[in-house]
Amino acid sequence: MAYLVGLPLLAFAAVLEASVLSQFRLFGGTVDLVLLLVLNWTIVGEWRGGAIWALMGGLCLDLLSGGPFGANALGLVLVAYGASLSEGRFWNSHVLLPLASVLLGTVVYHLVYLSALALSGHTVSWELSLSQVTLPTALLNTLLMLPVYQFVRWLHAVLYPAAVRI
Amino acid sequence: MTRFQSRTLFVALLIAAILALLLLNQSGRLEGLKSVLLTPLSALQRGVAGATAGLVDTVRGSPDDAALRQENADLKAQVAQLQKRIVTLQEGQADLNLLSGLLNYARSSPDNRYAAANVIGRDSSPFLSFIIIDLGTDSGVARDQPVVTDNGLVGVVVAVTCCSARVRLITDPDSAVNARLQQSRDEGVAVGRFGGGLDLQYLSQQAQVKTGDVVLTSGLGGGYPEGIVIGTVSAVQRQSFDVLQTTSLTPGVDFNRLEIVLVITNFKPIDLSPVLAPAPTPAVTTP
Repeated sequence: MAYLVGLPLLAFAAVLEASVLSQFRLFGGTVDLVLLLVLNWTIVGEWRGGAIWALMGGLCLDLLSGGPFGANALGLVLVAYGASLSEGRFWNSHVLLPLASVLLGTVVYHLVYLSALALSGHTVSWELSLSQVTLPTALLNTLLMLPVYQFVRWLHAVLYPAAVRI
Repeated sequence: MTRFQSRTLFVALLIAAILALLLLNQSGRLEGLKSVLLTPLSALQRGVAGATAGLVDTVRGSPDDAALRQENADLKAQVAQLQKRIVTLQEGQADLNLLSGLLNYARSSPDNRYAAANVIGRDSSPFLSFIIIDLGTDSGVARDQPVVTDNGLVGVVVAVTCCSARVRLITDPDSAVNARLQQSRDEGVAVGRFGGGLDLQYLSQQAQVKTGDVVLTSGLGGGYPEGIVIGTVSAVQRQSFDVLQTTSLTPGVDFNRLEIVLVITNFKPIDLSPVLAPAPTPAVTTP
């Protein structure tokens, strides 16, 4: 069920990223909506779903990008895996933990993507990319983390309602 | 198998699948599949771009917003209908201005055949400078065709599906356009800079260049038609110890506000690779 909902949701998020969010920039950075959805889905306790969402969302982004096909998916799967190493309850223990995770997740995601770009022959300016794109993006992602977290928690509760003992 | 191990194995399988995709893509075997998958995404993108065009203008703040807001405050609900009409008319006027500019440009080069395309998206990666347009092979758009506006060169088509195309902007770090200074006729290469700028590189030290000089495509290399505006010189950095000089350019096109572009559909890029290939070594004959 999560995959049936996830595919259109992630495709829509990828299109939003490419069509609308890419026009609102802080320096060179934009919001990584797909990353936020994947990270939050993993954090709410769906480690396998998070990895599959990362694959689906990443491939949607790759289709809309001129970069190497699979680079976004690779970065997102690695971020989802990293986030899944701690169990769901860990993230609920302090509000700053999801925020810290998105900072780290953005940096890892961008490093993997830039590495894939460099390996496939694109010109990469590491210093400028990290300072003008990754850092502002991390800030924007952090600002949007909590609203997206609330949305994903709501979606998770709708798709997997808690069992009630009668 | 522990939970950690099964998780790691699962993710390793996913990564192996992605690496296989990366390799297949590098060898060009995924183009057909990508084209099929991109078609519904392009349709969705076209819908989202159309639906959010007004929103983007509102959030960014067009010059008329303040006046419209003031009017809205004064006339409140009674004027709501009129406001809506005004916005619609302004959008129409803006489109008309854009199109008449493009039409004038098209008339100035009657030999070229143009197809006007809407910009429906940008690259999903902030590290790359591409746009997505809503015309593809069905409208005669093909790879390597130049894309322009009345303000100058936008870029070149690098990938096409039936109904959309990806255009590499001249500001992409991987873009290089052979260029010429309009006044002094000195030649160089306009290279994209990370962050959306342009540099004119490989200019000789003797080249007479000053701020404000117009830079055009030179047509050398056969990748672009000759005489399209690339931009103007914004800064000259001449170092006496350098063999060549580099100058910064301000692109003629405002890439943040691209809405409609023209694809030159009858341009045939010249493949110079056979000419540039090393000459075959003459066979050595023994007396």
